[in-house]
Amino acid sequence: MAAEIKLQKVRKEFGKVVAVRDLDLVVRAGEFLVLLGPSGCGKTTTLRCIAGLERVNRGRVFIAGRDVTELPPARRGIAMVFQSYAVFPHMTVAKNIAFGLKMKHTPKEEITRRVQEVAELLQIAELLDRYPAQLSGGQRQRVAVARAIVMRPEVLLMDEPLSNLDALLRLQMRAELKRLHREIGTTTVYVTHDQVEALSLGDRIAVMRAGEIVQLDSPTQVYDQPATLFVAGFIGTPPMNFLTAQLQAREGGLGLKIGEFSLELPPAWQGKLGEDTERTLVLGIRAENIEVHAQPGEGRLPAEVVVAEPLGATQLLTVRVGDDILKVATDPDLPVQPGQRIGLSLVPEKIRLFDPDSEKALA
Amino acid sequence: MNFRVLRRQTWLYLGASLAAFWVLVPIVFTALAAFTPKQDFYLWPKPVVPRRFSLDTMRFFLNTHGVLNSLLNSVWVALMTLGLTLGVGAPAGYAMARFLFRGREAFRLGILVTRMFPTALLAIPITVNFIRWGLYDTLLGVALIHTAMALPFAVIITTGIFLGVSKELEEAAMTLGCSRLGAFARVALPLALPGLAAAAMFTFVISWNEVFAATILTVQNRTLPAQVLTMLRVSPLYFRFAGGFFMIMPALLFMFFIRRYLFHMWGGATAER
Repeated sequence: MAAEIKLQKVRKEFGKVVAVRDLDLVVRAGEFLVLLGPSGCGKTTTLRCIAGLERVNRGRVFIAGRDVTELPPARRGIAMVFQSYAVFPHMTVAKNIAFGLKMKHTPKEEITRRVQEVAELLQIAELLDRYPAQLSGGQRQRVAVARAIVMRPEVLLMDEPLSNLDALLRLQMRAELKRLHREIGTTTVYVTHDQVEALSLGDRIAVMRAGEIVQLDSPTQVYDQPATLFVAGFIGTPPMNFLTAQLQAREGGLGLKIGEFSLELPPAWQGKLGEDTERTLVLGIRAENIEVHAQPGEGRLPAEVVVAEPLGATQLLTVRVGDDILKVATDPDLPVQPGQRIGLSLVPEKIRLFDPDSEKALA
Repeated sequence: MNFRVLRRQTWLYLGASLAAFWVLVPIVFTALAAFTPKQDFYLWPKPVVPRRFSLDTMRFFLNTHGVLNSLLNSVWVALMTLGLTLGVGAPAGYAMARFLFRGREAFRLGILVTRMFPTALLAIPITVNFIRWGLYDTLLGVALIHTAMALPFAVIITTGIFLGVSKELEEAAMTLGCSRLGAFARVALPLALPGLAAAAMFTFVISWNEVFAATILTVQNRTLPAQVLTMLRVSPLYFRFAGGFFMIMPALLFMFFIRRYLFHMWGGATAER
């Protein structure tokens, strides 16, 4: 039932704009894959190429090993949930959900049974006789999802399905989509620009930029080991902090110099940073991997507080180190004032290093 | 602030009332005159509420030689115009609303440019060509000219209508097993239907009311406005009122029935109804 999707050198151009640039991607059968990226990165176009709503300029699309590049959407075995839900306004909820089955000439009794089944699964059984105009946004969204999964598609495609919901509903629907995927096990490709959604839903995340996949990994890997400066700066709230650092070879290992401050790199880095041990690098570290001390001191990176934002469970500090601005999370009780000098210690194991020219991670 | 709102509202309603008055008074007088018995017609001062009501004048008008025939002609011409206009205009409007193609903006402008030339200027060349093509004094000929007049509006109106039907709805239908055509027929068309009906009636009225081309291009096969126009010059006053009333009725009724869709017609956003 769940099928593998394979994109081979898929390219899609709109006039002079290259929306998808020779993309290679394999979505495993039953997998929940998230296409994540800022707007205009080509993620929706990629999805529409899989759906068959866009004709690719070059490359091939395979679903379940079948070359579907030239097939219309109707014959690809897919179902799709649109950003605007695209629920048919002139049909009742029941007719909306039954639409695809009717197109396939499914017997009437079976249609009724399956519509009822899926309506119960999505808790919209009591809305079946209503028209979309009488539904809330969240309910329309459920209808759109029901209409897609009632088809028992080999592949389920979702284009920012939660982006039109308010924050609370989004949280609830997100968990529900995850449950749904576990229950029906369909291969799912999910487009979003919301990294929290991506991290919470995806078995794997494909981070896209300018029509290309920059990194394709599990959520934890994308979060902990971003492949490029772009991924590191895009994912996480707040995103990863960057510091300009000078690589130094010293006795018994490698070290970094940040302004006047020196830092020992864990031995694991030995031999991984190439021949040139005297160069400028970008050090990346997440807010939660920086420990804050109210006083500067020996072995602590000196910093100056710019803004302190209490966020309930944590306190978010914006601090300046040299010319770099960092975001660090601390205990809400830590007494700090803007302008105060403080000290930071970085968890050495959590440090990522990037080449400033190629913007790629070094490891 | 409240005072300001009130003042603005007052002016607005005053203006609207004046406009309504301006339009309605002649219509009311025409109607009254059409249903007043001949004998009362020249009474002065006129009673505000007519004392007697009679269908005599209307009956006389309808029974006049040529009226019934021209009425049928008008209906035929209007129906042909309707078919031709929507047959060509609606697909054009759909294309304008859905597809990005080279020269789309130029096309949009070009449509309006066709209305730039006064019909009077084109009358002679059209007549000459129609005679040459055997279209002169035929209903089809008149319908073709009316189509040329109505088509620009039809394209613009239907563009607005189809823009109001979200593209994603058709795409959703396509992912659910419809072909391109099926998606149009099952989703876009039903949603556009009220607007299309309004556009159809609009076209019908354009043809129904058109006098100039109909007068020039026909001799025997007159449409109603052309017939009435030539007849009225030599008729008594009450007869003219009956003719006038008969002519404006379809337009009035039409406006009454479609006023709800008028906003829709001019491209209002009605994606989710």
